[in-house]
Amino acid sequence: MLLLSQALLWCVVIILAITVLALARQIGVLHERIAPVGALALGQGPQPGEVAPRLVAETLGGATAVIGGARPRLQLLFFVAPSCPVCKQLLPTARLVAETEQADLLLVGDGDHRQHRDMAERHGIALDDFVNSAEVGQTYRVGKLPYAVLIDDDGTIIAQGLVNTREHLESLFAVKESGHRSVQDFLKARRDEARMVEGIDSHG
Amino acid sequence: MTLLASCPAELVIAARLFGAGVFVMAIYGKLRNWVPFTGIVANYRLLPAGSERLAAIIIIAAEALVAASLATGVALPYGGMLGIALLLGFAMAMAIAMARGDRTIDCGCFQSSLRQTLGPILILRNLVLAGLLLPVLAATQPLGGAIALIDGVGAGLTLLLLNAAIATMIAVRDANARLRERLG
Repeated sequence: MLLLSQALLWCVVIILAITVLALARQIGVLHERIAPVGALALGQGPQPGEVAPRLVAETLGGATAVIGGARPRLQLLFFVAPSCPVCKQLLPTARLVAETEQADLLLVGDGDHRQHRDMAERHGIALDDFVNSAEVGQTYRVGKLPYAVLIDDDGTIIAQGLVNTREHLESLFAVKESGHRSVQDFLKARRDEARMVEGIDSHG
Repeated sequence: MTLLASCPAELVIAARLFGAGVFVMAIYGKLRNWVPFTGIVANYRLLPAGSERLAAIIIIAAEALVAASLATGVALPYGGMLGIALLLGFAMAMAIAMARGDRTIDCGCFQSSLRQTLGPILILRNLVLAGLLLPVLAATQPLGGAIALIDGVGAGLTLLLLNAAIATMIAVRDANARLRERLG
């Protein structure tokens, strides 16, 4: 009787340990399988692949900034507002990503000129890299912030979307490298490819 | 040694089963990832360049000897001693690499698909594993009755499973840290 209860007890303990191991492994597997999340494209305004509308706006420093059109480098439009905490949090990252990817960063705001100037000064942004223009936001139909648009050197829109993290920002540049407009596109293409290979295998 | 001589049979059985399992898992992982493993041995920069392949073969052979000794009971105290020496040696290699500032290299411990980056927790784990092998040194004792066998096998298997779970959790923690760093 004692033997049996002892064996039973150990069985329960071992099952518990197996459960803990299985849980830990599932967390690991989940970690590996989580696809990188890209910027959320809201599907309004000019779309990737289309020519970016050529706009001219005055920078906070008084210079003229041209948006769109052919230019020597990529252009990253980063729509921000002084009242948006995520925008401020993401600003240093946006500058770093733009620098790494060799893109010209242009901040676009819409609102009180003085507040935008304060924001630029507080974050050490050159006044000529910041425009305060309602027209740009309206043209790209920007409804939520922070929003980013990446324009190619030939003036076509590469990618755009709502960005909340560095990964979102990097996903815009990944579009140029991978040729897929969104992570969803990329995953779908991979699924289709796998299905095609399966089809060939089962018929061949 | 007096303490070890009076070690209960349950503990000896548990330690043997656990030790054999740990070393079999280690060998399996290393053989499955042979090329990365030789790279990891080289990363430790403790041996002359070009000798990492030979060192990797010696490590795996020594681990196989320990596993065989613990599983079969042949030359048991020596097998146990070699096992403890290996674990302490690995802990020392990790401590030296960390002291030199090589904190980002993979520990190479169980060679799962998830990397385990060097850290104090891995050194501590090796010390605990070495401690758990101590009862094996008292293996000249009789194996005991049926209850001792059930307790020993149960405890050994549980420890083995928990060790695998802890290894996975350490790797997941490292993966989380890398992700956090990447996301800024």
